[in-house]
Formats: sequence, structure tokens, C-alpha cells
Amino acid sequence: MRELLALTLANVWRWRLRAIFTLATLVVAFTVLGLMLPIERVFNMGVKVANADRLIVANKASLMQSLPQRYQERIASVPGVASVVRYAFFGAFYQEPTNGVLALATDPKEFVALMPEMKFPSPKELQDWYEDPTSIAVGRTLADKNGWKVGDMVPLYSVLYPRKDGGNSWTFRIATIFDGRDANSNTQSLMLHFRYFDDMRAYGQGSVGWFNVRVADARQADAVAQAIDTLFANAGSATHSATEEAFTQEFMRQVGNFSLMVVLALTAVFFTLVLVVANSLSESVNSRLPEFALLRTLGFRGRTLASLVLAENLLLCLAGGGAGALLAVGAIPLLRRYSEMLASIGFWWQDLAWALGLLVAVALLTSLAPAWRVWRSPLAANLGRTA
Amino acid sequence: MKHDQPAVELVGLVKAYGRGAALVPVLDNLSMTVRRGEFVAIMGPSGSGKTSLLNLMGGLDRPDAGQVRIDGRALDGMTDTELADWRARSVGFVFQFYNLIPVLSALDNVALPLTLSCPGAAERRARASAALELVGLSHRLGHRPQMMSGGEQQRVAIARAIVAGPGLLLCDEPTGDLDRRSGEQVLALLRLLVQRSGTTIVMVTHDAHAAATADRIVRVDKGALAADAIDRGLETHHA
Repeated sequence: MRELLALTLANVWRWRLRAIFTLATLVVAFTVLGLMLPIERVFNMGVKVANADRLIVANKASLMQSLPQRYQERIASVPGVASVVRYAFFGAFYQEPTNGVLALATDPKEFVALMPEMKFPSPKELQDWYEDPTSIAVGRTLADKNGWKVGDMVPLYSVLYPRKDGGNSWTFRIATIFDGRDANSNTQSLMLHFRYFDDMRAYGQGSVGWFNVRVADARQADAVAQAIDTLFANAGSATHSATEEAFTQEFMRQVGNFSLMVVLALTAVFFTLVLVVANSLSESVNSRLPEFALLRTLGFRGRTLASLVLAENLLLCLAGGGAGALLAVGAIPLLRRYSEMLASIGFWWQDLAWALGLLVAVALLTSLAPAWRVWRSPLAANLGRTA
Repeated sequence: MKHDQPAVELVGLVKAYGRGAALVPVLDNLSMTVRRGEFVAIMGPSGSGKTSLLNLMGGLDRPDAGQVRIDGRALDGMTDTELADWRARSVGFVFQFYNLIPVLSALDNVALPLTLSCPGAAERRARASAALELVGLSHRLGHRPQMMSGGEQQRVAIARAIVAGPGLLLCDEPTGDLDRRSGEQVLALLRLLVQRSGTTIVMVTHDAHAAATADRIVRVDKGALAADAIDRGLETHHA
């Protein structure tokens, strides 16, 4: 079969310009696909990690509007509420304004109790964080991105909160670095002591960004959320409560239905690919019908020649699509490094499986008509079209 | 070596192309026989049905009526797959424009038919080399068709046609695209095949000089055998 392999390889590269354009289309399409899937995963990560037994209670007007701290006790008194943790958005960057850091002020012990999906390396480090109000706990992704380690002193510039003693620069000591319990866990943030933050900030004392509420029974989450909102319906700051999942989905809807956009984009890419590859292959096969007819006169069966067409197309698709997928895999670390929003982007083998499946589908779909033509077209008539 | 047994038997062949008012009759109740080891030239004006006749003999096309028997076996009962297998074993083709695969070397072109019957790559290369040596092209093994003259390309095509050892060689204007000298080389080669290995050759040609190389000349006109079939040293043999 060496001769047939040589023939297949030679035919793929026979009309170089056409092959290059088709390959380029495949490379671009599969680079896009290879990046879209992980990006879509990042956008949906929040939804997937959201716990059904946790509520977010925010200002009804906007997440950017604060709530009074005193709400915490009243929320805790609502039947069905197991615990309440307060949060404030610190709004910081590290070294460069472009290097934003997701820093949240919260109460360490309550945070750890509320977030079982976060894994802390040792009780000693955790204790250290609890006891030192100027210390912080940093997520692994964020620490790795900035090259931080336990014990480092980290100066952060808060664009929202100047210190009482002047200046927007806050320096914290890293007490611990936490990991996620699984690949979906978000470790792009850092946590600082709410009490310290509240004491030291120049304004805003007594206010929080939002509350995170654990309900005793996840099945009652919606009812508890409604009870909380009812409680503050006529207060100075009305609340909007929802499960983490619903809250994240609401937020995602504001950004746009990214999953739908991905599906639409991939569908467009797929059909464009099918048209481009089918056109290229049809022209290639059409111009070689006399050669296929000759091979049939030599005794090659129609289905063998149809298989050659499929093999040729599969080779082209795998070369172009494979290169595109590898480019995407190579680009993922760059995205992680240079895009704060995509800091948790990662490569999954299932993406490659998707790409491979799509490649085979494109190859099969676009080979059908040309392969059928090679198999069934009148032999003598095609042979007459000599080169 | 010649035998009395018929290699090719054509009985009452009818073939037309097109439909309805556009129907063009090509062969009209044509019958003829070619004996084993015989070299027969078929001559006739353009459109007389010569190439159609050759296509029917090679199982490249099917008659509307009549029967084609090669070595006693009727082709009309064979499926497309059986015909393909039969062609691989029993018949070689040489065309006017060589029909070589341009992206393959001479050696790979000649070895192509062997991929169907000969599993060993080394043996295929050896047999293809031997076939190219027979046609005087052992120095051109690695050359692609476009690097060779027309005469050389036609000799590669002949090597490809005979490499699997078919008993029947069908040649459609094999010298039609060649200069006189190259044409004579090709004809001498065909003659040599008949003498050395007893191959049966049916050659369609316009060229009276080329036809003169054959044992017998059969004239076809308007889809039927003309009366003036010429036997050169053998008995006249047409139905």
C-alpha cells in the first residue's frame, strides 16, 4: 500500500495554493474552536460551582450599591438561615493598573465555614490568617499568576478605598494560599479581614457590598430569599436575594448569553468549513476524474477509490484542524497570563475530543459527494477526458 | 506462441449513446473473435466505434445487447466489483495519452496495479523495475511523467499494463501522440510482448503503418465490421 499512501499524500499537496487556503481555513476555524470551548467554560464556571444552599443578598438597585452592616443580624434571624457572611469589594490592582486583583473583604472564620470547596494547606496557616488582621488568604491561581508565596508582603492599590491615614496603598502579608477542591473552583481571588478593612478605610464604615447566606435546607432557598427581601422591602436599602446559581446566571445574562453565542459561532464556523472544504475537494476530485477512471481500469474497486478520497480529505482536515487545535492549546497559557477575566482558563482533553469529532464529521460530510462521484461515475466516459 | 482457442469473442454487440431523438448508434450487431496470442489492429474512421469496441472488451462499458466473452468467460454477468477484480488479473490497457499519474514516479506508476495482487512492497518494486527494464527505462525509475518524453511515457504505460502479467492487452491509439521514431519503438515493444509472452493484443489505430505491425487488421465502419479485414500470414478470422 506504499504506492497508495504516496498517491494520497501527493494528492493532498498537489495543488499547493488550494491546499494552503484550505489548511489556513481549517487552522483558523479550529483555533477559534479550541479557544471558544475553554472560554465558554470559564464563563459558566461560576454557575457550575454555585451551591444551591447559598444565597447572595445584594442591594436591589445594583450590586455596586452597598447595604448596611446591621442587616446581618436581621438576616440571621430569618427562619431557615443557618449563617450569614458579609463581603465588600476592595477594588485593587497590584503594581500596574492593568493587573487587577479580585480582593474581597470578609470574615475569615465565617468564610472558611461557608466555602467548603476551598482547600487550605494547613491549620497552622489558617490560624495565622485568623489571628493577624493585616494578613490575607490568596487563591492559588492568583498567587501563581503574580509569583506570590506565603509570607510575602503584598502592596495593593485600592481604587475604591483610601486609607484613613491617607493614600490608597494597602500592604498585606500572605498568611495562606488556598486551592479549590476541584477544577471548577475559582481561586482567582484574595480575602482580607473585613474588620481591619472597615476600621482602616477612609469612608464607608458600617456598609457591606453583599451578604452570603447559607440556608439550612437547600429546598427552602427560594422561600428564604423571598422572606429576606420581604423583610427589607420598605427599608432604606431594599434587597435582592437569590441563590448563587440564579445570581450568577442573572449576572451572565447581563454580559450576554455566552453559551448561545459560542454555539452560534461554532455552528457558523462548522458550516463555513463544510462549504470551503467541500468546494476544495470537489474541484480537486473533478479535475482528477480521468485518473480515478484509470485506476478503475487497473482493477481498483469503486469503494477503494472512494476510500482514497476520504483518506485524502481526512488527512487534510486532521493536518489543518490539528494545527489549529494545537495553536489554541498553546494560546491558552498566554490568555491565562494576560487576561484577568480568563485567569482560570484551562485546557481539557474533552476539547480535543470535540475538535477531533468535528474534524472527522467535516471530513466525512465533505467527502460524501466527491467519493460517490468517483465510485459511481461512468468509467469509459471519464477515461475519455484525458489529461 | 499462438493457440487456436479464442481469447476474445464478441457476439452480436449493440451499443448506442444518448436517448430518444439524440440516440447515436455506435455498434450494430458486431461480432468478431481474436485468438490467443494474436495481435489484432482495429482500424476505421473517427466515430466508427473502435474505442467503444475496446471499452466493451475491457469491461469498461456494457453493451446494450450481445455478449463479450474473454477466455470463455462472459463479462455481462459480472458485477462491477467482479469486473474490477477481473481487470486487475486479466487485462492491461494502454491509452493514447498515456494516462500516467503525474504525482507518482515511473516506478510507482508501474507498481500501482500490483497493490491489488502483490502484498510485498519489495516484490512489487522488483516486478515494476523488471517491467520498466523490459521497456528500456531502467534508468528512469524515479522520474515523474512530466520529466519524460512522450515515447518514454508511453513505454511506462506499457510497463504498467503488463506488470501484472495479463493475457490480454488493449491499446487505444498507442502511437497516436508520438513521433514516428517513438511510435516504432512502442510498436516493436508490443510485437515483442506477443512473441515473448504470448500476450493477446488488440490495438485501435488510425495509422496504417502501425496497423501493419499486427497479425491481422480488422476494419470497422459505422459500428460494424467492414468486409476488408486483412490477415497478415494468418487465416482471415471474422464472423
